[in-house]
Amino acid sequence: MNNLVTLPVLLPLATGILLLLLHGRVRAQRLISLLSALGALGLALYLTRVVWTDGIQVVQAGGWAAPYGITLAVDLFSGMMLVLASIIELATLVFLMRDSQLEQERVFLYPVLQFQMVGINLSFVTGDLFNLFVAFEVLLMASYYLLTAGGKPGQLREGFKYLVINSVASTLFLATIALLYGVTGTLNMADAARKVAALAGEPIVTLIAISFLIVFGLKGALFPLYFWLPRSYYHAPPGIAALFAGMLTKVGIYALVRVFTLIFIHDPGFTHTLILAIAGLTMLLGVLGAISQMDVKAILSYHIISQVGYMVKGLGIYTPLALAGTVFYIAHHIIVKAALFLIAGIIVRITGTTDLKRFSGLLASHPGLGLTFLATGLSLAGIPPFSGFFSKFVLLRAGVEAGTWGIVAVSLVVSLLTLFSMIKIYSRGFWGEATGELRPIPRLAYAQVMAPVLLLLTLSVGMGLGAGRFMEFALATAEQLMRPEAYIEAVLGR
Amino acid sequence: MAAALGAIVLPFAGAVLMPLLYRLLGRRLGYAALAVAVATLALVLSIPEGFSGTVNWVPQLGIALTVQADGWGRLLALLITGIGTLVMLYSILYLGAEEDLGKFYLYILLFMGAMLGVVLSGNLLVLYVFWELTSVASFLLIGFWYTEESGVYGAVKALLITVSGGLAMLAGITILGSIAGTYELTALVDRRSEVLAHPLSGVALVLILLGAFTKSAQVPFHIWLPDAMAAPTPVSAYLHSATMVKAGLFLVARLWPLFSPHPYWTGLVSTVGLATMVLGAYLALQKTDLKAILAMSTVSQLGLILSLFGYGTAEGVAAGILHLFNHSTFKGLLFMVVGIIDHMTGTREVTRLSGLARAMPVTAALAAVGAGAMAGVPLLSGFVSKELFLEASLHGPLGALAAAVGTGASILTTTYCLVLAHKIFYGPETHDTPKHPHEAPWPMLLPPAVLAAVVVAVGVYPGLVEHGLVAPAVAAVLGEEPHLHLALWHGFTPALGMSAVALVGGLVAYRRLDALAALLGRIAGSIRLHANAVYDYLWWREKAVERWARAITSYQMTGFLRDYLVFILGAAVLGILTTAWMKGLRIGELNLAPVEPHEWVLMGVIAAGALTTLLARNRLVAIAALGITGLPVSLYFAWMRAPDLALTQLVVEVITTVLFLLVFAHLPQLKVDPPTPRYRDVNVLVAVAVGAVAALYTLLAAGLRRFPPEIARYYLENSYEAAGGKNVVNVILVDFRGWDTLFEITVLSMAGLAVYSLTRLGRSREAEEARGGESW
Amino acid sequence: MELLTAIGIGVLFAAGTYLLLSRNVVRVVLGNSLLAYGTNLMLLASGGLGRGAAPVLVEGVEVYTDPVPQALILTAIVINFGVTAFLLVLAYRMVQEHRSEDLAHLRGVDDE
Repeated sequence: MNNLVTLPVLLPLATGILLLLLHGRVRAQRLISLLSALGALGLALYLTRVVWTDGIQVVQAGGWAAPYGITLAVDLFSGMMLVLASIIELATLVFLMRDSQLEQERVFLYPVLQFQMVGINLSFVTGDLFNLFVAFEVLLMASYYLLTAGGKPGQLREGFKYLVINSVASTLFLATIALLYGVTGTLNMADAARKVAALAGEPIVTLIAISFLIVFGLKGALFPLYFWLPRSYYHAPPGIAALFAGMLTKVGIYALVRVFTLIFIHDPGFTHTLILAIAGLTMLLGVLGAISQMDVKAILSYHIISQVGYMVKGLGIYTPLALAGTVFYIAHHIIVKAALFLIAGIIVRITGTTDLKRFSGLLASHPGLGLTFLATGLSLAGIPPFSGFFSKFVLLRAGVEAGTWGIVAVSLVVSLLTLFSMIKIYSRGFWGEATGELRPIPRLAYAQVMAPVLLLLTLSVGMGLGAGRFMEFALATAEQLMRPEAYIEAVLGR
Repeated sequence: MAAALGAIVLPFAGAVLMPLLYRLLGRRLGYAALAVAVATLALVLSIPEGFSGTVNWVPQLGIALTVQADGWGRLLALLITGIGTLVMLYSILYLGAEEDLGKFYLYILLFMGAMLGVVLSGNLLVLYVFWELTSVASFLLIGFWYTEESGVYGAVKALLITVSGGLAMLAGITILGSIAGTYELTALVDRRSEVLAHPLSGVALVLILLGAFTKSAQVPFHIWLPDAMAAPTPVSAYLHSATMVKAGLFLVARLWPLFSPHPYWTGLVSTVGLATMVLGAYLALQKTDLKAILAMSTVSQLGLILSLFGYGTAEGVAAGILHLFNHSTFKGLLFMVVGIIDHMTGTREVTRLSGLARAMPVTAALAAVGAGAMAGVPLLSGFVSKELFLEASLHGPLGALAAAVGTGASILTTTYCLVLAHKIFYGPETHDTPKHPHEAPWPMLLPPAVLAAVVVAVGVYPGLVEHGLVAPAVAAVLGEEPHLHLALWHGFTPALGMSAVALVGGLVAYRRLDALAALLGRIAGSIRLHANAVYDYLWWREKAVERWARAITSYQMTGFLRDYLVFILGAAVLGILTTAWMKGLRIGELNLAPVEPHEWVLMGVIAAGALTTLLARNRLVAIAALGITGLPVSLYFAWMRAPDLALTQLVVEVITTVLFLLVFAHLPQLKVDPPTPRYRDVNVLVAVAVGAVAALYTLLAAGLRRFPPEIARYYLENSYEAAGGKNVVNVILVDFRGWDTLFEITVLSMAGLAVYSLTRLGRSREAEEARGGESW
Repeated sequence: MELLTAIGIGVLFAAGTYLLLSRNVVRVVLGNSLLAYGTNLMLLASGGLGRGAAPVLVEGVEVYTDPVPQALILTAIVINFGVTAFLLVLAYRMVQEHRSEDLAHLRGVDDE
């Protein structure tokens, strides 16, 4: 029992309520948000450390023993996600604070941002499937707000589609919960894992598994369920887009990994092979989407899809090394993708557009931004020595060792295409004759929007140069995921 | 270890400092870079011979910073730092004050560090890491003049081609690693028989060679090298002739002890090498831009060296290594000479340059030394290694064929060498050049002069490099002491004869250059080389890859919500039904309750309401029908012993309907285009399928309970005793599952905030637009 | 009973889906609500239908219906209410801004 586990959710909730009370006092809101984000980061780090030394931390909300109450559990995987979420929150906040107009437009920007974190963090700590549904709704509602409250026509239009598709996903989630509860009579993940194990081999179990695959595949933007993503992220306001791009789909991937390493592990020949095939198609179609675009934000949005494929690929291969690759890749992706979206935001601020046909030659006036983009983009494409290389290499090696040649070939082609589209942005946007009317950002503001980008890039480089340390963590996380008994025991205690 | 790691780290550290120092030093930055290069050279020299050591990096994956400073690695490291030093010196004068020196030296030092990493690494994966870094540095340097279209084109092309090869190589290394369980070169060589016996060893070999071939510009991947000439000339001299393009050759020789007995080895390596040698020489003669000629000649010479490594003989290895060394020096020299010509005359076009010797005598002499060495003139370094080449070819597995091909290519080589050394400097004087030619200042002549001195010294006395440099390198590759005897005079051997044929033939061909050009033009007309066309077709802006991607993407990403939902729901239904079918799901064993009459009525009303909503032509009717559907749902809840639900449903239903009316009654009735029949058919199909799956789910959820309702029983038993409530549903909400309720309220509050913001914003938009400017 | 409920739910889902696939914004919003009804009924069915008394503890009654799905549905109804309210306002604002309620014309492909 460790009540620390509730804090990643309760801290942003309390902060959010406090910020609502401070309505209109932007300075105070900023300061408190920042402090809360720092607190969340410290908390997440501490919690992960506790898990590292003492094992999985579990708390039963309200004191009702599992499976009767709602269980909150943090293992290494959740711990890592919490850390990453708070890093991205911090980066987003620092970036957003330069954006006074955004504050005017979105009167509840800072409180809702906190509620967004509530939803995200709750998804990572909850051990109950219906509570996970509620967590999704919290994060979705917050994202609807953040996406549309600017009121621009594009945001309203894409927000509507985003909402309807996600609402369909929620419907499907509830239907799946109904099916699971109807058959097993439980909502607790650990308890469900036990009951499903008792039913192993029955068709109904695989059916429920596929339903969850569809539900979380929708959230995680897998093939062929990713349609909601590119245009809505395209229209999201700059700093917000970084938060979405970094964290939101990863919540779906987190849930997918969770249920397919904890509960539905008895028919991997069917389920995990299917996941592998989906991963390949997701990677390929995502990157083709990126190549088809001529706008930085659109390119980056499509790349999210492609990279989600990489993450799921590790789950599909389903060996400890492959899962370690997934863990590594998730961490790498969250950091790098958020950084790239922040860079896109800075580009918009300078040029007024992210359309590669409407600006070029940015390197002449903003060399630092150019080289930062290039380094981040190369990291995304898996060029060493950044984090992207090691995460892709681990997955490649896992694929080779498992003999899944098809996915190995696809992932190499996708790597090349990813590089191609990163280079497209660089060679068109930053190289060439300087065109377009530039509106230079004041020095101090520039430093402040660049700071989170550089922080994230440093993390990416650090994860590359310090790949040994992080790999140790990723492997330990994968080992934990491959041994669900420990999780079940920690939750049910018998 | 400190010296070896220092030699790799120092250039990187220097690189990072360059942009900062640029602010301090301005155009004197070159001296700082020079200092870094000299210091690195000193560090390389201080690495003990044959040194090896390891620092862990990612032990879980077998990735370690293993330094393998054997003779082969040291030779390359010396070339990299030695020529690097000269290039830095040369660049100081070559690059004007208007250039962005901070970036230039950043990139070039980045390259130096990366390249040292490649040649000193004893771990294949770490080698790969540095390998890709050299590609990136090369990309940045080719695109240094990024406002020029040619620079951008060349940079992107070089990067895409070398990285494609690099990715293949990474796959090959990974496969090799999984065969042998290690990425350490020495350990791999120890397990050679195990590796060679494995069925995947051939795949691994081919994939790794792809990396080497792309990097070393072998046919058909040679096409990036000529376009890389868009880089400033010091870069061409350094990366694209002396060092980076040698990385592929370096790797091939590194793998020699492991793979040379492999049945594919000679067939792949030597064949590609010889083909490249001939093709490069042929293409060099077609070019009129001096740098293009040198680029193609580099391609040709790289092919020559590669073919030597492919023979699998000690003789071949020795000849290859010596020629690699010689090529780095004389080609670096020639590029610097061309840079001087370009700088002093303002053009690199062979047709516009002639008779420069009077104005530029020193340059002319330097050119003569460089070109003479490349042609294989006695007393110059190239002669010695070319002799060895012809000798090794003759004795190699391809025998006379290889020797004949080599001699033929050498004739062409001699011809273009004469163009470089004779036509430009000793032809009739012209005054056609953009600038009036005059001799370069001595600091600019110094670096090529140093290289020329090396070329002459090695040519006169090959023993100079034999013991200190070449022999240890050969020994490192072979794994045994070589029987090396480098000398000017070997007696009247077949090789000498072939050398003479090459020189005389080349001279003859040069005298009849016009006829030769016409002949080559005819050949070129009949055999078109398509590698460039393929690249441009696939990759260059707006070309095939982007078009295909756009076609595939625009098919699915239509922007139409209905299409998205059709795809999503279609996939979901298909997935679910396929799974049910494949897994043999049966619904026969369900435990069902009987139906009572009023249940028929309730369900009938629900269905009728739903269908009315569906069919309503008028918006208000539809909204009313929706409300009417909600009422029986509420009644159904009541009937199903869920009084709280019934009540909540009723209240929510009423509020929602009012909301609907409020929101939509105020909008004009807008016309919607009638759907086409196919569109409607698909919709009906998807809708019915979804309905069927929903019905299936309901049946399964309701009738397939496999465990006793343990949790429900717990709630019923403990609701009163433990939580003090008799309404169990309420107790669940506020206590057992209170954590759900807490966040349910969060959602509701946020919805309120969102609605408030959205409506409020409608009124403030005009004000914002009046303010003007893009809001971001 | 279950069979009948299943058919009813199937009809709700089919009608809701058909409406979701419409080009008209209002119909999409209506479809979303129909789906919500269907889901709630499905959740209720997962507790087994119509066996026992309402889960309000009364002396002497031994058999109650499963209270868990009812609690879940209550949570779901409230959440769905919030979402629907926002969806409505969003749809209204979208139609207002774009002067069109035809989703086939609200693709947003051209303005990117």
